[in-house]
Amino acid sequence: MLILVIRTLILYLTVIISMRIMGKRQIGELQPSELVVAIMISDLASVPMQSIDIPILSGIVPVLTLIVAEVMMSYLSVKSKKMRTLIAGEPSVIIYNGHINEGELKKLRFNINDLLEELRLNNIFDISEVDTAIIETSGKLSVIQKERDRGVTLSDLNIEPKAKTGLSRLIIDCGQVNTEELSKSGKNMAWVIKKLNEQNIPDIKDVLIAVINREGELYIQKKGEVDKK
Amino acid sequence: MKSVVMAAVIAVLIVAGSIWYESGIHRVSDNLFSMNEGVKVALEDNDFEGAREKMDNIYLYLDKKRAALSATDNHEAIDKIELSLNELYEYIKGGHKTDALSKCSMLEFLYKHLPKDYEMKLENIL
Repeated sequence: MLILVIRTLILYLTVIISMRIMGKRQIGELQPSELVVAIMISDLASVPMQSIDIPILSGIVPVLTLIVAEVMMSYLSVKSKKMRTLIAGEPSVIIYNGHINEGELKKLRFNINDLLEELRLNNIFDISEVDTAIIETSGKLSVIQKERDRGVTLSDLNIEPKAKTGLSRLIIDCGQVNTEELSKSGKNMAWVIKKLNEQNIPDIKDVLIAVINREGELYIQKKGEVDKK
Repeated sequence: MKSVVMAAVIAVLIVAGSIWYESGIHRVSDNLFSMNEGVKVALEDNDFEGAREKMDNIYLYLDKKRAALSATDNHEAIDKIELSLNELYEYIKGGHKTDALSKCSMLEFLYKHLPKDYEMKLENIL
């Protein structure tokens, strides 16, 4: 039985490495060709995982071949627009200037109910608010609302944002100091220790999480701290 | 770009490995076939002792190649060969010439069949 465990682990690692080679984009949003690869990989890996009679290589080689094909196809689609259209298709504009493009809907085999459902999933409950709606190649709907229905932005009001931009830095994680993040935040250990002392925390090991936010303020939570509310 | 390079490296490894494997499995198949021929000749000459010695050589050769064959070929095919070899060995030990020769013919087929599934032929692709 141990052999099954080892074979499963080998195939698991192969699939993980393969998915890493495919890249983050493919994991987040699947294009048609990527969906095909994902389905085929799961099937190819599971057969030699269960059957000891089948050599493990007959699972690994097809998985790697699919990944090679997928990466090459992605590379070609980056280089050539024709290839991109062939592999992933093109986005379809289904609402333009507030008018539904019936021809495009028919082509996509989308009915009005599907369209309204997709709009609701985009937090739009009134179709008259929509200026443009596009079905992306991944099948997701992108919507641009009419000017009057868009939310007010800070630039509309000519207001400068108060909050600084940038990342907050996790400098202590379960009592372990992340020195790289600490130096990126522009602070040092002496500053951290001073801040901990101000909150009566004598040892860094007692800290569950410490984050320096965009304003340079320190957020701390001690280990075992119970919500008193 | 990194993933494209890695994919290209993997592609080269797969193609090179496949060519190397195909030539290797052909060599193993040819060697086993000629060793089997030796057993057949010895049996036809009623030299059972000589046939047994030749069988021992086949066992030794298969032991050497077992890991490579198991890693790439269906385990069932290798089991079939080993099963037939064991039967043949017993027939030779018992002096059953006709049965032993028929087993040799069967083994001939199995040895020839080893590389057949991996040959670049339209029938294998379809």
